[in-house]
Order: sequence, then C-alpha cells, then structure tokens
Amino acid sequence: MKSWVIAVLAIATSWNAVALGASSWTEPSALNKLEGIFWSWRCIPSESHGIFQARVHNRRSEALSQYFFALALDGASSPASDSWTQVSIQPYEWAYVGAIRISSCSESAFIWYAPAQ
Amino acid sequence: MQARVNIILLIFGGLVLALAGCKSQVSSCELSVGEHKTLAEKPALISSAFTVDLVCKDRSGKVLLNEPALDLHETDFKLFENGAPVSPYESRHSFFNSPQRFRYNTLLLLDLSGSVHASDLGVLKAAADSFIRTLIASDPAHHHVALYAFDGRPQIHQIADFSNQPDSLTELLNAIQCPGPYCRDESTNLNGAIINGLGILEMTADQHLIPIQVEHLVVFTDGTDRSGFFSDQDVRTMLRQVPDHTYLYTVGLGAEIDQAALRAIGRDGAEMAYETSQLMDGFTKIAKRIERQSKRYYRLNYCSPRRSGQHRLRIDVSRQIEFGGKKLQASGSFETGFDASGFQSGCALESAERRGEL
Repeated sequence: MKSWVIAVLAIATSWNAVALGASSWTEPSALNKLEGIFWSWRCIPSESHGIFQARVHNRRSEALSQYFFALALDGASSPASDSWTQVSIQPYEWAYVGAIRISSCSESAFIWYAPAQ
Repeated sequence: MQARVNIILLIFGGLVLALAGCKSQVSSCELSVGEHKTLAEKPALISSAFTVDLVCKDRSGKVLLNEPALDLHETDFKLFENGAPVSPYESRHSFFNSPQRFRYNTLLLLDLSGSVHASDLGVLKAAADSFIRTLIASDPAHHHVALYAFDGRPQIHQIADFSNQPDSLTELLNAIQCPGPYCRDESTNLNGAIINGLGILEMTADQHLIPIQVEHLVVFTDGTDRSGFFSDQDVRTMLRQVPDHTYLYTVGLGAEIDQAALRAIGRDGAEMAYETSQLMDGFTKIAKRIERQSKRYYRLNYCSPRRSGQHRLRIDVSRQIEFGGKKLQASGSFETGFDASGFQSGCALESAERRGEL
C-alpha cells in the first residue's frame, strides 16, 4: 500500500477553526494536489483529546474510481494498512474517509490518498 | 385537489387503549409540535416538515404518555401568516411529499467480529433481511436502507449503499461470508463503528439534493468495544453532536454485551436478545419503532399569498381524543419565519406534484 501513495494532503487544524463550531465541516485552503477533489474535516474535542473526521468531494465531471483514502496522525510514516478505505466517487458526490482520535484539536492530522492500480 | 395525508388507523387505537389504562389520572393532553425544517421557494411555495407528539399529563404535571401522533388529518391543521388565517381562496394546502423532497435514511450497522460470525451469521442475516423488508414495506417511496459491517478494524465497510429495493439489499446481505472481506479481524471496534456510522449518515444527508431528510442509525452487536480506537466517552461526545432528526437504536445479542451502554447509545430504542432465536423479534421491534418515529413527521406544502418581506408562519394542530367515554381536546402549534422576497404568482401545487417537485 505504502508504495502506491502519490501524495499526502496536510490538514492543519487550529483552535481558531474549532472555535467556529465543533460540528462544522471546514475546507482547508491548503494546496489540493488531487485536482478536482476537495476534502473537508472537522475536529470535535472529547475529554482531553479530539475526534478528527474527514470526507472528500469529487468536483470533477467524471467519476473518481478506485482510490484509497486514509487518515493518519501527524508524524506517522503512513496510515496503518487496515485504515485505508477504497472508494469510487461519482461526480459531485462525497465519500466518507473516516475518523481518528488525535491528542488535541490543535494538532494536525493527515488525509492520505493512493490510486488503486 | 384532494389532499393526501398519512392516515394511520391502527396506532390511534393503540393510543386510545394506552390512555384508557390511565384514565383516572389523565388531567390534560397536548400535541407537542416541533419544527424540523421549513423552506420558502419561488414562485411562492412554503414547505414545512414538523413532528407531532401526543403528550398527556396528570394533575401534578407528570407525563403519563408521550407518543407520536400518527393519525392526523388535514382538517386538524390550521395555517396562520403573521397571526391571520391563511385564506383557502388565496392559497392551497397539500400534505403530499414526493421522494424527491422527503426521505428517511436508515443505516444498519452489523457487528461481524469473531464472536458473531462463528455461530450466528445465518440467523443475523435472516433477522436483518426481515428488518429491511419490514421497514421499506412501511413506506417504500421514502425509506432507504444502507448496510455496513464492522469488526476490529478502524473502518466500517459498506455492504450495500442506500436503497429502497429490498431484493437488492438482501442479495448483498446474503452474499456475506465469514471469514471474508467484511469479517477479517476478530476484535470489535464498536465505538469507532458508531462514530463512523454517524459520519456517513450525516454526509448522506448533506449530499442528497433532497430538502428534508431524517436519519436512523441501527447498531447490532454481540459484544463491547475491544479495539480501543475510541473511548465510550468519545461516543457520548458524538451523540451530543447528533441533530434531533437523527435517531439511534441498538440490538444486543448474548451475554457479553454491556446492556447499560447499549441502552444509552440506543436512546430511541434498544432491544436485547439473550439468544439468537430472539434476534428476529428484536430487529422487528426496532423496525416498528422506526416506522412509528417516521410517522411523527408531517409535511405541509402551500402556496403563500405573500409577495415580499419577512413573515411569520404558525401551524396550529388540534385533535379531539376519545378516552373512556370522555373527549379530550389536544392542541399545539409551532411558529417559524420565512422570507417572501421575490415571490410571485404561478405557484401551483397540483402541477408541482405531477412534476415530482413536492
């Protein structure tokens, strides 16, 4: 799996963003390397840590077929092998990536993607 | 136009019986009306979805009955704009909603961890099949069901996407083999499954171009969380985020379940099966609960005579309830605002219905 990864999408969270509303989904302004595919995230504080969720949106006019997506903590070399979700996303539809627990909502998490080929 | 409403005869009889059981104590009944969503669309269409529950109390204020009000007719409703009755000559009402405008999404999450597929998979499939068929048959146009599986892995896995075709859902359900793609890890990521299931339901609601949706999450498990990806507190945190129109149910099987935890998660319905022979009954009860919850929802469309500005819409509901030879009048209302900017003539409910827009 790791050898297929062609890019890592960095998601920088901040307390300012969280303060806008814990349940709100946010689209990061970070460079989008997978053209036409947008992702959004949110982090919900829970006890002393955070629950980080992400989903991706296909804004291409054609389907995005057979891609893997996964979430990983900041500092992880790659997501665990069983963390990957294989999705095909129709044009203008969403796909849910998953959720991970992070040490706090001020930390970063990463969405990884890889073509399934 | 002949207005169409959901008329449920059987349940009203049940309510009367329930009331009869506590007739010496009931002091008053009211219809508790809660707004779900109200939309104002050009040329002048107002669509409102709301819940109605029958709440009866004794003289001390203690709630004796709190059940969905299932049998309301169009004549039980009255509309007011800015406090004045909406003229039937200037507007038309309709209680009809096409599937393009209103939908119930139910996500059934099946525990396929090691303990389940060892002995109970066939019974579980049969019970889930019955659940799907019971639920969709109750309102085939509006109920859509998706099937997901979880085991000890971080992700949940789609067995079948949302569909109102029971045959296609059960075909995919019956194709499950364990061990197999849905059941590879004998551990149980129950907490992660609930968090991810809620995430998928929320995304589904955001994704569909259907103005008004209601979500149901049904979780089947025979154990407790073993994977430790998320804590019980994390689940409680997520449950606090869940909107009012998302309902949660659990079905537990066997001796390893934490009944208290499953009842807390299944805040809208929890069924415990002590052996596999009780699974079918548990799933059927949850399907019936969803059916009842779904029928709390009423959808009203009308063409407003307003042509500009901000306005207040009030919907009054009143119904006479027979109880032990006595008649009680139960009533309630809710009020909301709408913007009539740009409204004009040309709103016709009949043609909108024909086009599938209502």
